[in-house]
Amino acid sequence: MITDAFEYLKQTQRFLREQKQEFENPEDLLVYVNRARREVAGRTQCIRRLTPISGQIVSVNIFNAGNGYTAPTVVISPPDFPSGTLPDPNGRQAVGTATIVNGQVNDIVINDGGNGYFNPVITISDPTGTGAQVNPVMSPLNTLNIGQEVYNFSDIYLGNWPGVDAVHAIKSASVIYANYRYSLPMYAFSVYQARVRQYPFQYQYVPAFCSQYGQGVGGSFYAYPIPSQTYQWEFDCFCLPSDMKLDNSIPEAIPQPWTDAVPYFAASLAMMELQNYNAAKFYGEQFDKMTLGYSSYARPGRAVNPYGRY
Amino acid sequence: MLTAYLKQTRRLLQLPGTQSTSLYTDADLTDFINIARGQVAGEGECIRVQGTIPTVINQQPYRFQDANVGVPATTGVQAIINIRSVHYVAGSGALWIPPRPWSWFSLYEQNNAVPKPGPPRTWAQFGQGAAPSGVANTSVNGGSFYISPPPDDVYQLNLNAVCYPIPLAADGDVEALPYFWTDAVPFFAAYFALMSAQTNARMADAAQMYKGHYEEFMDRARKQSNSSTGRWQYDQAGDPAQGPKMGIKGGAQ
Repeated sequence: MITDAFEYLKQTQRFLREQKQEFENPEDLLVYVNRARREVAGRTQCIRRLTPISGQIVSVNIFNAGNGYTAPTVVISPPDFPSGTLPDPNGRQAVGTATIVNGQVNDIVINDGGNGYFNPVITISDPTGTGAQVNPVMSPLNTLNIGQEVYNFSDIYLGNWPGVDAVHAIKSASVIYANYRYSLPMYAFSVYQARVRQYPFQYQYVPAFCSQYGQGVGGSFYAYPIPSQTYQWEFDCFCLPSDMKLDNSIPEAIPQPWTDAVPYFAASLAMMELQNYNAAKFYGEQFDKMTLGYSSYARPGRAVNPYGRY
Repeated sequence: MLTAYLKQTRRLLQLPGTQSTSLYTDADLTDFINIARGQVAGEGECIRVQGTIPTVINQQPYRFQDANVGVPATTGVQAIINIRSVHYVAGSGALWIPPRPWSWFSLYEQNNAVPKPGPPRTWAQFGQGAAPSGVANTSVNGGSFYISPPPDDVYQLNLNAVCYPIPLAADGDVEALPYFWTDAVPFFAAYFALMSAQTNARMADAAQMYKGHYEEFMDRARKQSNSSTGRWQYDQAGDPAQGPKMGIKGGAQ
């Protein structure tokens, strides 16, 4: 099973019968491998990610230290938006500890950031002290923001997924509003421009329409009405993988079985460099065949309803 | 080893014993033998050494002759002819540095007004062959390579190198050429000797000595030094699929 750069290079060198590296610089082969990986990801849409709309508390900002504190306890609200996904489908309670200096809250250490938070509330309980006010700092979440109409694909946080480099397409976008998730209808930008975004900035409410403007990794979404507050915004993203490096340090985001198709395309590109266009065409056709085959293996036909009714 | 070379070369020249000095002096034959040994080392690439050279901060060029390939008198290895691959020591291991042709290196690695120092990312050979003599000995005109970017630290480069041997001056001098390539040396030395005779008959003998016997023994040395299993995988063995691989007609080489 191919899981890293070296395995890709080995298989490509086998195809080329290039174990002795007489004609192809391995660094060039890795360029072809990375080009092939992008081709696989784009063609098969196999790197798919949902943007996070709830997460962990990573730190706490103290904007009022209060007075008279002697034995402070950090009280953190329970998870308000469990994600339904592992490892904490029902969320996990966050835990923090406060330290005081001269009766004032000096620092709050998050011992466990928990999981499943969107809008946590943190208070400081103490038998004597009063007045401390703090704000939680959340792990990156995908949100609609007050007054912001345009959202770039490149601003989507990808740090949760090692090996994922960029979002190149978004299949759908859902807004969480009043504990209800709904997908925004997407219009062509010309329609959106002509019929939807009538008021430049005056009209703010929960968005009901969206439209894509920029394309590819330079893609962008417009949302209208312009958000009146912070809403969770969940994108169904198609992603491109990070380029692998010769030190074998980049993990593979492309899942099996599509990884097996990569060396065919890399070999085709290498054969183009060697000016052997017949072999390049052969490996290109093999790549077409394999990607199609792997997609059919991984995507069986399913009955929508096994009982034949809606 | 020098005595054995001299004895075998004299046999090929039909000059046994004391007759050897009548046409070819031992000094001349020794010169021929040492030239032959250098040529065998270059053609056979049979003296392989893992040399080392430390980088100097911000210095890009490095000469082959400055690499450490051991003490010549002990190993019989004089210096580097060419470098096959370069690693630099990192962590508890080493990282491979991609090679590039000089033209590529010049365009993409040296086309920068303010190069940013860092760990070695690529290297290219500049000067060719072994260390030159004379004034050029201090320059990169002889065998040399550049690394890029300029090193930001002292890195140890591990050089997978092909080397040439020290000249033999006495029988006790260490021979770095491995057997079976040593068998080819007297044929090449005899070729030189016959060439020096300057007669048509001797010149014809010389051609036979080179094209016939020397090349045969070099070829035998190659074959005998490679395993008979998976032979094509080893260095210097031709790939039977070379023709189809390159999209040209032709069978096994």
